[in-house]
Amino acid sequence: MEQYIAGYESMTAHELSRYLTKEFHTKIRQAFGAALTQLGASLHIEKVNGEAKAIYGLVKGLCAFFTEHAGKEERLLFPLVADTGQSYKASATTYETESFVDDLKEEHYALGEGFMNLRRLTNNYNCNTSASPSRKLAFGHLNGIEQNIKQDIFIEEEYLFPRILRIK
Amino acid sequence: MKPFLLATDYSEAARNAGDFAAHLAQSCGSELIVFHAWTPTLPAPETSPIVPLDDVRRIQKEAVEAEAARLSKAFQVRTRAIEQSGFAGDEIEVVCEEEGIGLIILATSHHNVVARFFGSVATSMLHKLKFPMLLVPEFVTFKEPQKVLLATDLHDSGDWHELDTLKAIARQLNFSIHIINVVNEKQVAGVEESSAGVRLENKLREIEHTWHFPVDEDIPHAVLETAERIGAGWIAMVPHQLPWYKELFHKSITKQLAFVTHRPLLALPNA
Repeated sequence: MEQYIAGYESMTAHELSRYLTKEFHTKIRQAFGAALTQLGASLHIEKVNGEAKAIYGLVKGLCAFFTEHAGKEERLLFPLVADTGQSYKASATTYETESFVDDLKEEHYALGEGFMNLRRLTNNYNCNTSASPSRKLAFGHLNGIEQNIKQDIFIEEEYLFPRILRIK
Repeated sequence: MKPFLLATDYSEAARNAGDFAAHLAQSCGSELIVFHAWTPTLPAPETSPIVPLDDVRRIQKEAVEAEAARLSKAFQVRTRAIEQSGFAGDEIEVVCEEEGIGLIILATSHHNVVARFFGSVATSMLHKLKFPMLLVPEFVTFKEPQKVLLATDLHDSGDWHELDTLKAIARQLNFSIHIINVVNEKQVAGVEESSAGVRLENKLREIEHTWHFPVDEDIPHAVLETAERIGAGWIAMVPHQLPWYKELFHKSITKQLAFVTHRPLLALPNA
């Protein structure tokens, strides 16, 4: 972990934003798609119960929430640091950028809450032995998504956001 | 809210737009000004006018007053009637300035092929108007929207003041705003667009809103598809004011949408 942290510290805000988009956002979006496909399949294969439907609904909601959140970061925030060191032309004020970053942090918190609910519903991503392979695969994806999102949030809040606000 | 202005030509589509406008004005607690522009017929030099101009004016006045009275009675809304001789597009603008209009409501007809080619009053006004304008497709009846889809390319260097009307109506009707920014796969967002997006976030802070970033080469298609998917009641756009020569090469997205959408289209000029 330490070697990674040292790596993040040496990266510019622009490099960090590109790294997060490529290594986290894109992969998380793909993993959500795979998890939903497998969960959908398991709903058909297994004897459908309310809990399975609730898990599917929650994952669908988390996927939509993350997609919008990542879209806002990639489309509205990251380009602000595309030319590192330059001040923004005709840009948002410091207050507006800070407020926007605060909103994104609140969304991080909401994502965390959502995954806590998901852990509770899925018994920490543990399946019964009788569960279908689709469900097992889906839970594996979800576990991976949660870990990736945690790391993504850590890098953003500890390294990227402070740099963006400093540049401003 | 500021008064609304219904521009009518008494056609079936315009009467439907009138019902829509009256219902909306009632929901927003606004006065509705019913307006009709008419063009005096110029007689040939050797003939005398069949109907004197004063009589024409009286007939026009009675007609617009009758429409205002109909809407007032049917929807329990304060109405006022104004008629003016001249070209509709010009006269609407004059009345809007005189009366401090907050929103113009006009009918659009998808079946009018001639208008589609040459442009109707509504679509010709889209790119020169200084006032917000709601285009109501024929046969669309009023229903309070739960969601309004705001399409933007984030090309705004100002403070998004053009959204003030949308915000005011959102507060009255309590709808949420879904912002759509269609992304081209090869397109890289610039600093200007991002800044505009951050400012837009702040502008809509107290209104429930959400973002969509679909990847699509065809902007009208992406807007219509998203509107359908989320069940948007209206579509809102900020039309760009292009120089006339650019209009030859760049098809206006707002105009394209105005002709094909079956949802009311709110055009918010940034003049």
